[in-house]
Amino acid sequence: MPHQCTTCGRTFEDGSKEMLSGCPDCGGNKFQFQPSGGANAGGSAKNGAGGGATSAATAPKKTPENARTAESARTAGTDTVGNSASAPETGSDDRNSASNDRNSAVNRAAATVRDWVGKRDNTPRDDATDDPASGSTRKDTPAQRKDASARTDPSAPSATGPSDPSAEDSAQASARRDVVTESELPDEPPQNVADAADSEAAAPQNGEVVSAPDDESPGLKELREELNSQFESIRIVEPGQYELNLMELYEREEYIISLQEDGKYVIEVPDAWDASNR
Amino acid sequence: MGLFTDLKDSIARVTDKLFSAQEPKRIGIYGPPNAGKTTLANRIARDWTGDAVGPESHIPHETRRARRKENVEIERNGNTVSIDIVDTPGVTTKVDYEEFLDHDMEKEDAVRRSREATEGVAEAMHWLREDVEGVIYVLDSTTDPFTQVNTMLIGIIESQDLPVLILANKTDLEDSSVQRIRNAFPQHETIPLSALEGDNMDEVYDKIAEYFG
Repeated sequence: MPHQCTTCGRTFEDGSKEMLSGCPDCGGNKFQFQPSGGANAGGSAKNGAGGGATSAATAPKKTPENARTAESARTAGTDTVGNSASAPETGSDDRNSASNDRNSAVNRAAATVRDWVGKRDNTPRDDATDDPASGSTRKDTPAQRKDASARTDPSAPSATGPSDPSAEDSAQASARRDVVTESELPDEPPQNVADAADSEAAAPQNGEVVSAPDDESPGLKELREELNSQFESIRIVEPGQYELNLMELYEREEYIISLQEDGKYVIEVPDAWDASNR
Repeated sequence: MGLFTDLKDSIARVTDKLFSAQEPKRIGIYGPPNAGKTTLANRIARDWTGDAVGPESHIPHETRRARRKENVEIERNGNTVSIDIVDTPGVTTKVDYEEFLDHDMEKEDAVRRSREATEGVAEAMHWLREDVEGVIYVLDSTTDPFTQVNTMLIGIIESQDLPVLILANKTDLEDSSVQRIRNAFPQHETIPLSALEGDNMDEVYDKIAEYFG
């Protein structure tokens, strides 16, 4: 029962296409995901219905076992985000079982984090947001942190790439993330319940971090277009063989003054004097 | 006060020079590769200044950088026409080093020549937009003038409203056909000549004075 509609509770098999255009029963478009390993459905359903549904529905759910494994494996901020993205916990039962497993080192670190966050900001969720910068602090926060990671994972995956393969296959994970990253982030803050509010508030900050790669892709696109438009004037078929677009060469203000053997070329850019003469 | 007068005089001299009728016009010699542009430029420069502009060759793309001969004063009918001659690389849409291999050139040299020729075309096109005030368009009268390059360049020149003189070169060769060039560009005057032999250069100079004076 990997997917569950958070409105009516109907469940769908992993990879099911039924839910792609909304829940066939109630039309709901918020779902939560539980890997087939089995998680506490009651807790997650509760949380999902509680208004944090947007992120909980799209975020893969994590079993207590997974939580433990993931936490012990966490070493860096990016890893943390990746793990939390693939295996967040939303149920209170999960939190309890996970926190029981923590050792004293973890608790010490958790205390450190709480102190640190307390100095900076009284909102406990903010530490979750800042945690990607330091993996050690990230894993130590108790239930709140998992909540936070559940909220923030919609944005996190795009930065961290593949999720936990044991929970779901990468294609599913990426497909889900893509949708979440674009559509969910701006909508989240208004629909928070009190418990989720803090983590939701943290999400935009995380969103900023992970949206950086998204910002780069349009830049690359522009660069490529720019390069293509430049190559329209002279096309190098192979070294020593060139095709020239005379109109393009004529219409350009700058002109190519030197072609290098490695495919680079030097152009002269018109200066202010030339521009004023025209 | 002396300084002021000197300054005034020098400004007047500069303005006179700038706005006098004698200010040389920059005339670009354009055309496809191997039409005889450099031969013509050298002919004009030698006739009126005694110097040459650049080396000539039967291998295409011998001229790979625009070369300028400034202040060429051509006397016609008691008047003097002063022009700067800009000899440009032959304009083409394709440069292939294999073309040069036929002229006993090593591949490495051929590739380099090809690259330089491409740069030369880019430069020639740039100067056509930026720097020339008139065009002498040289065509090899033994070859078909209906080419993409000729049509495009003449079109550009016309769109710029530049005065253009079309020269049908290589009339010393047997299969030369001036009429074919006249037919190709009936809207322009076509002057036959052999830049190599110096045939009909008088008419060429008359027309240069008429068009660019």
